[in-house]
Amino acid sequence: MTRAADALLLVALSATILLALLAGGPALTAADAARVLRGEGTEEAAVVVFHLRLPRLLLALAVGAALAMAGAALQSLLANPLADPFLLGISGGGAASATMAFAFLPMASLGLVPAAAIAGSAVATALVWWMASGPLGPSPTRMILAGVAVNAAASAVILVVLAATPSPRLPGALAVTMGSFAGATPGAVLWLLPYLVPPVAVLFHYGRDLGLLATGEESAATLGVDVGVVRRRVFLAAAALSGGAVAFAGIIGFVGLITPHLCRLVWGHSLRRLLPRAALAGALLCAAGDHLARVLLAPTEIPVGVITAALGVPFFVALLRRSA
Amino acid sequence: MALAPDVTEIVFALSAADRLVAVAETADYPAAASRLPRVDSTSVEAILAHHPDLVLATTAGNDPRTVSLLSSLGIRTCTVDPSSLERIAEGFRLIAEVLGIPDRGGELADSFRRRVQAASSRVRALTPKGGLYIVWWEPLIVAGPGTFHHDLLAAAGIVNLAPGGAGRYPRLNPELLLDHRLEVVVVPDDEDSRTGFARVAAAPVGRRLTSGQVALLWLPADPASRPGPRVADALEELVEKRLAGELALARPLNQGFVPRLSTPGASVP
Amino acid sequence: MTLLAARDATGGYRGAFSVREISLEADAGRCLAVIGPNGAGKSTLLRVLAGILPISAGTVLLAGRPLERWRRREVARQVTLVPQSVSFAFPLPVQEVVAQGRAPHLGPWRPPTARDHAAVQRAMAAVGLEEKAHVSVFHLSGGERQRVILARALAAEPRILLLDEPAAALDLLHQETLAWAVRQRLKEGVGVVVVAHDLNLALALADEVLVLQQGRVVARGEPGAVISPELLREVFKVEAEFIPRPDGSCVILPPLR
Repeated sequence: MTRAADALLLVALSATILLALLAGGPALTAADAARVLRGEGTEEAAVVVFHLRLPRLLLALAVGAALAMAGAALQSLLANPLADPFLLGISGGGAASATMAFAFLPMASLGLVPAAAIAGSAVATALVWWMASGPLGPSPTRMILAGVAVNAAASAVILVVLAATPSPRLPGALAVTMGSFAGATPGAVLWLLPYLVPPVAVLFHYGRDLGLLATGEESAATLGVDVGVVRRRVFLAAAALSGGAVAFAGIIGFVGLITPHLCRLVWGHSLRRLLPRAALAGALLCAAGDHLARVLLAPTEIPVGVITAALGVPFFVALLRRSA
Repeated sequence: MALAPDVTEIVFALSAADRLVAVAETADYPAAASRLPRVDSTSVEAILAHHPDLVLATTAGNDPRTVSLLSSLGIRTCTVDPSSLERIAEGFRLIAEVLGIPDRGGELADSFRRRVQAASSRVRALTPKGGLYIVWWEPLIVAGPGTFHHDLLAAAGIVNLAPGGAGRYPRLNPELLLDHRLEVVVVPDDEDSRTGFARVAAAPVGRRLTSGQVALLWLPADPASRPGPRVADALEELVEKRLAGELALARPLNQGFVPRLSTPGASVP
Repeated sequence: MTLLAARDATGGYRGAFSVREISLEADAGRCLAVIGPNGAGKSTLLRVLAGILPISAGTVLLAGRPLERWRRREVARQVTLVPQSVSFAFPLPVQEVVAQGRAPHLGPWRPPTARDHAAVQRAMAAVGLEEKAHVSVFHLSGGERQRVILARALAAEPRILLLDEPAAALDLLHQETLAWAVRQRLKEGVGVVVVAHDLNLALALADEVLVLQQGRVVARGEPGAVISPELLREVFKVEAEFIPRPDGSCVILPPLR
């Protein structure tokens, strides 16, 4: 069963990648794009495929993988199936800061929006940690409550900022809060790497410990987990993954929450088995979602979060009802 | 009282400015408008403080809830819907009517229609070109069908490539900027869109814009984005620029940073 | 042989629930029962011994070396605490939970070997859970869950087993299974410290009894000598009935009538 699911996942992912490159937009026919992939097409067509579609695809894949892994890790770390980067306020903090930057920075410094998002995520992360810290260190329940509070504050900030945004910038500012891969450049993908690679290594290293933490902190401690250290490092890693994602793609809901659960239903709860599958499934969900967002009403773009939710939720409900 | 700058402008054009007790904070044309008392157009209390007996609003920019709350409080309201050039003209007539000067409204509307007619007849002979009216560069947001910008393009002989059915200002796949159907883009000329353009022009997605394959037509931002009488000015300027572009095809020339030409070798009508 | 020893150890949660100046030894093959009224600090004591709660004065020695000088994982290889209950966030199958017991031996990267698998199978068999190996813990009764947690601890094959109310949710048959499993470990040389409300269980299993009251040791010694009507009156504030059995031991009946 899990073998077949692995194969299915890989096939679906490959198909989506090919589709996104061949039929990702209005400028090229699929045949022209195919010629580029064979190394034959015109220079103009190559620009479309390699400078527009490829970075966008890579960003969608990377962000999907990052969100799904962050969600899977946070769910186990906090022993709470509802935990995800959004619930913990990390995405919200990044989006609030990005919206603020977009609304008020001089136009020439709009390149700083991702940096602002990273800073916002970092502040939100620190706030959650600080609010949750009790005499015995931050407990999972307190972290979730603190996350909910930070998230609510971030939403409020976004609303205030949108209300105060000068009207010519309003559509753009709204678009920032809605999440999209449209702004992808090769640079953005490279910038994302430091937010991706070390955190993933951390999550894999603590994969077994995270499995134990899912049965509670005391239970994990009795089995040799250095709870304080693991909690700090994994939370930081998950925050970096989420912050990087929100910086370059805005808020894309549901991926961090639903993908890990989908994968848990199919592949079980061992983090070592789960993380790579969640990463691939998250990448698939985001890439497929972005493809649909581009083609459903082409050339109009639908906010990709709408699509990922529309794709993920029914699938999730079906699996949830079927599993005991 | 006028709750939006374009409505203010219409009242001035109808020579009824003496009827205005206050205008929206953003009203700055004509210069005399800036000297009138300002009111926060989102605040019903602030509006009531001026004791208006008539409130003029627009669907483009005013919250309909504010307007309906005002009329439920017994204040006469009038809302124009400038979603096409014809509706803009219709708005002139409507406002003139509620101000009790219907003749002046008819005149203003007719002269507006005549100017639109005249301008568009100058480009009628040209082959229509595919184009976009750019509201924002990154993300790419354009004016779609159901906006007067759409009409503006049509009147200047430009076929709007923005699809309908996805909101009036849809967000488009930036790849469209590399689509060969795109021949003209119309951009309101302000600091934001200049800088936005510079960013896009520096990226691969801006290739066709900078290589001269797409004609860039900059319009003064103020009349182009305010659906008042001066939209006719904007249209005349747009037509002027289109014609200049077509003429320039005969003698290729490069204007540097902002190319305004169509593809060399395109057919001259 | 003394495996784990507390010397005037004071520790626990800051504020409430702490234990003071505790001295005890957990020896190989011997069972120490800790009894006392609710809130006496019995569970806290077990957590101090397991190194999960901090020690503020005195020391706890594992194989002669203070606990704080061991790494967490090294402690877990030798000392396993069986908490009263574990809350599961996800519907893990029983076998996977029991296999978690091997984690201290595997560390972050080593894959489990045949020896690890065998330990897991043995542990499940010891508590009668083989048939439930693939059932989700969400579908187990409270007693079954308690056995799963016990099996997880047995799979760790520790030298010292700290049991917190292991029989609280067990029916009579499984209390017997538990007693049998603990005796097996004792025979293998494992040191056991058990916190028990059920004084009969303490009497049946323990070689030594430690009585806690308000965080301090108030009595210590052989079960038969320590657990007396006087002690119950003084420490537990009850008049319990001691019914002698033919073999010389006795059964304690709580005064429920």
